Amino acid sequence: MSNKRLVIIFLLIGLGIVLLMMANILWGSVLIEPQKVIQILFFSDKSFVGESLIIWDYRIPQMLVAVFAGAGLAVAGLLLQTLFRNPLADPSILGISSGASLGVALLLFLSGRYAGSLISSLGWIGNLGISLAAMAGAVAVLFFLMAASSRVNHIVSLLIIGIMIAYLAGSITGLLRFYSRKEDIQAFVIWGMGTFSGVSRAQIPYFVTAISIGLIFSVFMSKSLNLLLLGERYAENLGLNTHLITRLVILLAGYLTAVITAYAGPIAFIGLAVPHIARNLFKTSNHLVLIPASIGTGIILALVCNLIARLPGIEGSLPINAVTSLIGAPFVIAVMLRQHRSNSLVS
Amino acid sequence: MTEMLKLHQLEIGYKAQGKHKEVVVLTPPIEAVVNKGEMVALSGPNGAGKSTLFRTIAGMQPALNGRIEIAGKALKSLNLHQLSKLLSIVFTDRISEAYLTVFDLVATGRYPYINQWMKMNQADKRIITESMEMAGIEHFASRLFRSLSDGEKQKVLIAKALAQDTPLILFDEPAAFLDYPSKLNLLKLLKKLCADTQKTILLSSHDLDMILKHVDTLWLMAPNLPLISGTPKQMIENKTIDRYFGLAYEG
Repeated sequence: MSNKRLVIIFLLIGLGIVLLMMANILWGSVLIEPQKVIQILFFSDKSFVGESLIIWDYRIPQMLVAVFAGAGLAVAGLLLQTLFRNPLADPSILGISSGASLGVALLLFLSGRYAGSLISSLGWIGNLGISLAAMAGAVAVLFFLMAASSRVNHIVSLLIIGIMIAYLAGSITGLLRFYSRKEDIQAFVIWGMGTFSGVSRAQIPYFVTAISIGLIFSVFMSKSLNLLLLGERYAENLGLNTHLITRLVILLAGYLTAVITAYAGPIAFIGLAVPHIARNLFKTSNHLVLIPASIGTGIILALVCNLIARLPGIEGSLPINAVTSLIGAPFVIAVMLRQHRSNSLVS
Repeated sequence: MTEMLKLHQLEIGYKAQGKHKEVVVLTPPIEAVVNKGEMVALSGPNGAGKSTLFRTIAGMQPALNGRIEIAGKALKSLNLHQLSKLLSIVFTDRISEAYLTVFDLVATGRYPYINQWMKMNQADKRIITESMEMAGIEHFASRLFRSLSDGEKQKVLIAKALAQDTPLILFDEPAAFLDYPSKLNLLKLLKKLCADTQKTILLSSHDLDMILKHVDTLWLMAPNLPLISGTPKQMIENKTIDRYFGLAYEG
């Protein structure tokens, strides 16, 4: 791809992101006129107390969570697809999101059993508790994976171990559910649907910083990732310490997944689909392009889904997991069909 | 003559898994040298340890005993990065990445020389172009690697090894997926590289027919026999080949 085309696509993506960010702030279940929004945003107009609260405490945090969760999940998916050289790898494949689910299930169901509806009655402290439980579950799985990665010789073994952890955590979660009260199950199901609105304004800076660190690290790994595409043996012959890089990639992808799952629940699909869209859009395997491309595409997909989840006329907002697949899956199918056609024309 | 690759009292093999961790040594200690600009073919029956020897020389598997020297430096004293500038290796591994172009793949040969941001200078670009020309693939630089035939892919990987600009190149079964004319072309190309650029090439193959006709120096390995070096002519006349391939009693 020529540099000129590269710049144009990136500019278009940037423009799309800016427009979608504005749309996400303008659009919501309560109608606020654009002039008022501008007054509130740029002139910190204090005369619209209610509207100002909605924008600063709800819409902007939600928009930022969508932006950084979309970017982080897309990059985590790309990292894992490259590491395993498998187009079906995504952030859930290593069992990290299942670990997070198990953490949340343990908290909700055990507290429900021994302390009544403690968590659901605690409001934002309850939410923080859920985030911490998700984080603990995800980090536990991540540590186990790191330990396992130093013991197995083949990357495929590691993939199988990750999938087995996912099954294991899933079945324990299933058992816990089976013995739980209805109200706790409801809370768990809602968490499992994913949401961009679970992060309070006060916590946004931590979330944004944590994801940004992961994204910056991943850009620095571009060269190593390009080498991993050739397979471990070629990568090693070109000077890459593949054992070290394997562990770094898992740590990085796991870290991004853990942080996002803790704050937004197990969000499916973005991590799997976005790298494919980015590769097809830019027709390259160079990670120096693919990482920013995945970040941009991930942000756009997440923002579009967040908009659709809050379509006017819908009470509250739709579960984000339903929307991501509903919008994303037909798009990926279309991209794949188009790719197939252009390939057969070339060869 | 400069010694490019020197194997001294080298024992290769692996530590068996399981309770006893016994060490499996594949051959008696190896004593062999490849000089600069030479092309040597390594052959032997399956299970003789050809691949293990290659992995050991490439630093991907530790030697059990003895010493390997590449361009006069002990392999043990080199880190992966230093080694990547002395030795390149062409494997039989398949690369199936969808959007990898021929140019980008050959360019990975320059990775040991460039920084994190992969910015290449004029010299790097010139080496890539020259490598593609030497391998005869400059006309499909912008094509996708995946769309090439096996013979073309093999040439691209040779160009990648050339771009890596190492004095020593190892080829693991370079002719494995090729038809007869392509094999012949490949061997001619490798011979020409040795002559024109003073590269040192060690290739493994069990295509005896091919290497007996086209290679000057032959190394033979077989289970429990010492690695032996000589010209194809000698090896045929003194029946070494029959002995190493277990054909002695057949006639």
